[in-house]
Amino acid sequence: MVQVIPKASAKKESGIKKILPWFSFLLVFIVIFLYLITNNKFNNTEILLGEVRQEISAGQSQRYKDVEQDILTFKAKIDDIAGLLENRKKLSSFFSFLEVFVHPNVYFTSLELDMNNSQAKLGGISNDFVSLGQQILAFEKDRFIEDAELESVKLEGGEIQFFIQIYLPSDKTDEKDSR
Amino acid sequence: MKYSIIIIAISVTISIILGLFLLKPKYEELNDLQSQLRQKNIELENQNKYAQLLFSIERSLEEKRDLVTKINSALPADPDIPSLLNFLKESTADQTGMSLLDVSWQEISLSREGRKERFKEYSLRLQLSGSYVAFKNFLYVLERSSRLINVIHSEFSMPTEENEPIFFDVILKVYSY
Repeated sequence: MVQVIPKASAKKESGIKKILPWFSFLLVFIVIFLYLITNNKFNNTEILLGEVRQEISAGQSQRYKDVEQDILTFKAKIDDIAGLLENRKKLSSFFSFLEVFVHPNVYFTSLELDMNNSQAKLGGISNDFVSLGQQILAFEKDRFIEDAELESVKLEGGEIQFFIQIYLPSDKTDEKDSR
Repeated sequence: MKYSIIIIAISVTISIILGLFLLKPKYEELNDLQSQLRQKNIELENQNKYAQLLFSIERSLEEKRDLVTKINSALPADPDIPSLLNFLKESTADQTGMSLLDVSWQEISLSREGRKERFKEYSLRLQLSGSYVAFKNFLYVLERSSRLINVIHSEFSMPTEENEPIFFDVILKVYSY
């Protein structure tokens, strides 16, 4: 039927426009839901962290601390001994050296050995200056001795009484000993 | 239509406010806590490894008890001068044939200012008599003793008469904690 006066046709709303408010609601719920998940995870992590902290402090028991202290003390002791042994000079090796290097015409009668300053003062008797010179030369040539100096000479009863100052390299005594 | 727009605007605003003032700070706190947890886990792991190492060292020290005893006697916790004197007396008279005539001692580390060592040093002055060979043997005994003894000074001269003993003046250094 043809209408003389046409009715205004009802405008149809698009589907998207109808859904949008619901989507906006959904967005609010999503944010709340995410917050709840995050909060739950946070609480769980907090509990876990507490447990780990407890485990750490439980691990540091008195026995653990005692053993640690004992080992550290022992290590310090080994370090101390190593340092002392490193600087140790063996006196006996000096005598062994002297016995080998005594000239047949020279007799040693006194010895003053100072290992702290790596010095020795040898007193002795010789029949002639040549032997004494050879003795000093023999000392000087050896690696065991850094330097040898004739300190004083006295002629008494046809004999030459002398003192020789010997300078030892601070680390040579042990080196020679190990040879 | 009008209501829809209002609803959307309110919802989006609420979402933004919740996201910014509730979710974001919580998420950051969670991240922070998780990084703390990771750190603590690493700490726990290292502590366990360290404890294992400590206990294995303790076991190996127990197995090497002899070595530990030697090290402890080289640098004892106590100066124990009487037992040192007894050792010197035995090593002179009984082992080497030397005679110990006089002995005096003092703590030298006390007199040193600004000392760095953890241990104390003692100086012992010995006056001995005997033959040259006996003296050399005495030195060997000292150098091989379990207690760390350093001979730092020695002085002697030959006697005027042939059968007289030689007198030796010796300074030793010993150490203790």
